[in-house]
Amino acid sequence: MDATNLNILSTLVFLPLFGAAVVALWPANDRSAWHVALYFSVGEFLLNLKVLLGFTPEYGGFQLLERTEWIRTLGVSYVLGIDGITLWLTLLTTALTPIVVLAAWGSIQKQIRAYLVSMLILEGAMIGSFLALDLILFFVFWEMMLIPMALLIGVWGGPRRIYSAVKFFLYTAFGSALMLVSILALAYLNYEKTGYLTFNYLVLREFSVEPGIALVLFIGFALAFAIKVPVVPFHTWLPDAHTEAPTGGSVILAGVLLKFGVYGFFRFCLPLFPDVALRAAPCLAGLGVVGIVYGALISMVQTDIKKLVAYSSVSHLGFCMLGLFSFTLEGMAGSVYVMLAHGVSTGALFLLVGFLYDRRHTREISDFGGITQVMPFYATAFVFTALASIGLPGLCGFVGEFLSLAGTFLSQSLPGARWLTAAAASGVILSAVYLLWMVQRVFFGEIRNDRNRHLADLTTRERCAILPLMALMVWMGVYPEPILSHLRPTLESLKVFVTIKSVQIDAEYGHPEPPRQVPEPQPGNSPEITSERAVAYEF
Amino acid sequence: MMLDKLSAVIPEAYTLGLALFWLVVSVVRPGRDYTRLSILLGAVGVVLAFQSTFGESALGGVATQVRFYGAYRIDLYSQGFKLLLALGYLLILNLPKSGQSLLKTSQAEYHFLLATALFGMMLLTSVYDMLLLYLAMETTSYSFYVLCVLRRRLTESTEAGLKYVLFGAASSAVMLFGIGYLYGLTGTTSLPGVFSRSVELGTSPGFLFGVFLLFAGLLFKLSAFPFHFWAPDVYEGTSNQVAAYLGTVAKVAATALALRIASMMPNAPLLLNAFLWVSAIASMTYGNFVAIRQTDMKRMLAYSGIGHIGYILVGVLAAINMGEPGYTATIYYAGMYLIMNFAAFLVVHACLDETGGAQIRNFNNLHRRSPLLCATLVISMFTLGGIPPMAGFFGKLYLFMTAYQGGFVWLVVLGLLNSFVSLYYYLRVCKAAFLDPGDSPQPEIVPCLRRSALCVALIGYMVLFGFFSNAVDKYANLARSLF
Repeated sequence: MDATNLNILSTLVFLPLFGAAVVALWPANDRSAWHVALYFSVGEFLLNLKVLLGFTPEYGGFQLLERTEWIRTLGVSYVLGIDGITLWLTLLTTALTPIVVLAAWGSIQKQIRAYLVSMLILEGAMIGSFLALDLILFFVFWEMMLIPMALLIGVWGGPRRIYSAVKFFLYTAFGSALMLVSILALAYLNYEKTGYLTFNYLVLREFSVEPGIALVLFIGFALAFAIKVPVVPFHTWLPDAHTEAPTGGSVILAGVLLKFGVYGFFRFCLPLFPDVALRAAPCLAGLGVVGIVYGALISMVQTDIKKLVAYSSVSHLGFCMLGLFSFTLEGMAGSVYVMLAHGVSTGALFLLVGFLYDRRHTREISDFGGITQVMPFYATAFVFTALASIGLPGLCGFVGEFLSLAGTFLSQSLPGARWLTAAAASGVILSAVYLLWMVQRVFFGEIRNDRNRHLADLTTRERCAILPLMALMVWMGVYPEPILSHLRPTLESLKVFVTIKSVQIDAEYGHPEPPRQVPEPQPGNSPEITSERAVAYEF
Repeated sequence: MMLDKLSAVIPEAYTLGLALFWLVVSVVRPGRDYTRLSILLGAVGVVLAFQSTFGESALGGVATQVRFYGAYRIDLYSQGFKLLLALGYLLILNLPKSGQSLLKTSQAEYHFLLATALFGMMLLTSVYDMLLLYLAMETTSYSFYVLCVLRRRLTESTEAGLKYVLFGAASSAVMLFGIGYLYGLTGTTSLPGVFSRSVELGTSPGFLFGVFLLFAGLLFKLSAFPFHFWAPDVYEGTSNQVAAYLGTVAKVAATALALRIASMMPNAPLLLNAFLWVSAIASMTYGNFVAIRQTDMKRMLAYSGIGHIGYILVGVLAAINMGEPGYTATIYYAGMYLIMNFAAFLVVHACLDETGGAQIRNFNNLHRRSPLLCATLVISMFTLGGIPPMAGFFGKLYLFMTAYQGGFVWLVVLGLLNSFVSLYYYLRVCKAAFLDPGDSPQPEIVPCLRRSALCVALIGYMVLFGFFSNAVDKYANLARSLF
C-alpha cells in the first residue's frame, strides 16, 4: 500500500458526512448548498475511482485494511476493508448519489438543504456499512441508514408518507434487534472459547459455532437481511416505502439499500454459519424463486407506474437470492451482477418516473398514453431503460440474470435446481410482459388526455442525470469482464472458505446423517474444483 | 484537622448551605425571579463537586474513607455520583419558570426545596448505615412531596401531590419495617455490618423478608414495576421542572443507592436474582407497552422511564452477578439516561409550558416553529430508543453485553425486543414534531439564548458521546472504588 492510499477507506466513509455538515452549516442560499452537495458527491465518486485503481483484482481477500481500537472494554474495533463485492457496491452507491443530488433541484420543493443533508448522511452510512468489518461498527452504520431514509420518505414523500416511513423504520428495526442479539451471542461464544472478546469480523469468521446454536444465530442474522432484501413474506414494507418516497429516495432505496440484504447474506450468513447456510439454501433459493414469480405477477396488475417498478424490484432481487444460494461461482457472480444492474436500471426507472411525476403529478398508467409524441427523448430513455431492466441481451440486466440462472442450473447443492431454474426463467418473460405492457400503455398510441399535450421534454439537467446511467447500462451489458474479473477472486476465495469451514464443522461436530445436498469436497482438492468451475464461468 | 475533615464533604455542605440560603431568601425577599442567581450558585456547586471528585490527584481523586461514626462512606463512586446529581440540578434550574408552572410567590421556596432534595440525594450516594439511609430518603421524599404541590391552585397538581405523599409514605413505612427486621436479626444498623451476616443468615425467612422490604422501598423510588403506579399521575400533575427532577436526578440517586447496597451483599445473586429478574422484565414490558397508548407527553415519558428503569435493573442484575463490568455499565447508562431524558423534558417544557397541556399533538409542526428544539427532541427520542450512532445505543449495548455475559440471555433478547417496541412510541413523537402538519395554530415559541445553547450542548453530547465510548474505562474507576 503506498502512502497515497493511507486511510482512503476512512476518507471514503467520512467525506459525505463531512459534506453533510458543510451543507447544513454553510450560510449560503439553497442553490449554493445544492452545488456544494453536488461537489461533495462527485468528489466522493472520484475518490471511489481512486480506490478502484488501488485495488488489486487478483487478490480475493480484504484489501486496503484499516484497523484501530475503538472501545477496548467492549472489544469493539474500527476495521474497514474492501473486497471485490463491496468494491462494486460502493461504486454503485457513489455513482448513484451525485445523480440523485443532481435530480433533486427543481424536484424537491421544500427544505432542499435538509434533503441534501439527509442524502449525504445516508451515503456515508451506506458506504460505512459496506466497508465495516467489525460487527458492532457494521451495526452502527446499518442502523444509521434508517434515520435519514425514514426522514426522506416521511418528509418529502407522497400522500401516505408518514405511514410508509414508520412502517419502513419499524420493519427494519425489528430485524436489527434480533441481529444484535446474534452478534452479541456470536462474540461471547467466541469469547468463551478463546478468552478474547472481539467483534472483529475477520476473527469471528474463523470461529465455528456448534450447529444447534448456529441455526438460532443464523436466523437472527437472516431475518434482518431477508426483511431488507426483501424476501417474499417480509416484503410488504417495500411497495409502500418505494411508492411514497421522493424520487431520490426511491432511487437510493432500490439502487442501494435493498442490496444490503443480499450483501448481508454474502458477508455474514455464509462465512459465519456455512453449514447452516448450506442447509438453508434450498429454502432461501426457493423463496427467491417465489419472489421472482410473485413480484412479476403483482407488477403486472399495478395501475401506478412507480408501484409497478417497486414490485419489479421484489422480482429482480429474487434472482440475487437464487444466484447466491445456488452456491456456484456463476450463480454468485450473477447475484452480484444483478445487484449492480438492478441498481442502475431500476434506479434509472425511478428517476424517469419521477421526471414524469414532476410534470403531471400523477403516476396512474391510465392518465397517460402517446407520450412519445410530446416527449421523444424521454420516451427513448424510458424504453431503453425498461429493456435493460427486462434483460435484453446487450444491456446490463441480461448478464446478471443469465449468470444467475446458469449458476442455478449447474448447481449441485440445490435439490431440483433445474426446476428452480425453469421457474425463475419464467420471471424473465413475465418482466417483459409487465414492463412492455406498461410502456405500450404510457408511451404509444394516441394522446387521450389533453393535459399531456403540452408536456415539455427533459431539461438539460435531467438529461445529465439520465445519460450516464444509460451509458452504464450499455457498458455493463456489452463488456462485463472488468467487473467480473474483479469479482472472481473474491467469490472464489469465499467459496473455498465456506466449503472448507462447513466440512470442518461437520467433521468437528459430526453429523450422524449428512444431508445429501451438501457438496463434500475435501479441503485438499477444493481449489481444483473452483478453478475448474471458473472455466465454465468464463463462458 | 477540622478543615481537613470537612473538605471531604464539601459538596453536601455547600448544598446544605445553599438550601439554608434559599430558606432565608424565601422569608426575606419572596416573590422575585431568582433564575440567574440560582444558576450561578448551582454552577458553583458543580465546580465544588468536580473539585471533590477529580481534585487532589489527577488519576483517581478521593481516597476512600468512612466518616461520621461509620455511617457515611466517601469514595470516588459517591463523589462521582454527587457530581452527576449536581449537574442534573444545574440542568433543572435551566428550565425557566412561568406563572403557569409555578406560582410567582413560591420562587424562593422552590429553590429551597430543590436544594434540600439535592442534599438528601447526595447523602443517598454515600450511605453506609440504615438509619442514615432512611433519613436521607425522607429528606429527599419530603422535599419532593412539597415540590409536587407548588402549583397549589391547580387541582391536578394537588391530586398528584396527594398521590405521591400517600404512596411515598406507605413505601417509606415498608422500608422502615424492613430496616427494623434487619436490625432485629443482626443487632446493628450499619449496612456492611448487616450484610456481612447475610451469608450465615442466608435464606432465613426473616432476613429475606427484610431485604425484600428494603428493596421494595428502593424500587418505589426508582418507580420500577410493581411499585410504579405513582409515576405517570405525578408527572402529569406536577410542574415540568419537578417532573424532570423526579424523572432524571431522583432516578440516578436511587440507582446509586441500589448499586451501593448490592455491592455490600456477598450473596446478592442468591437473594435478589429472581426478584430483580422479574421486576426488570415486568418494568420493561409494562412501561414500553403502556407508553404506546399515551397521548400525553409527560405520561409517555413516565412510562418510558419505567421501561428504562427496567434496563437499569438489568444492569443491577449484571452488577450483582458479574461484578465490576456490571457496575460500570449501570453507572454509564444512568449518567446517560440523566442527560437524554433531560433533553426530552427540556423540549417538553419549552413547547408546552404556556398552554398547560402536554399532549403529543402539541408538538405538531415543531420543525417549522423551532428547528433547534425539533432537532433536540428527535435526537433525544432516538437516543432514548437506542438507535446508533446516538449515545444511548452504546449505553444499552454495554448494559446488555454485560448482562449477556452474566448468562441472562433471555433478559437480553426481551430487552432488545422491548427497545424495539419502544421505538414505536418514540417515533410517534418524532412523527408529530417533524411530519404532522400543524392543523391548529400553535403558540409561538419564544426564542431564548440560554436554551438554544443548552440544546446545542445536549445534541452534541447525544450524537458524539457514543463515539468516545472509551470513557467507559473512566467509569470503571468509579465502580472499582465501591469495593
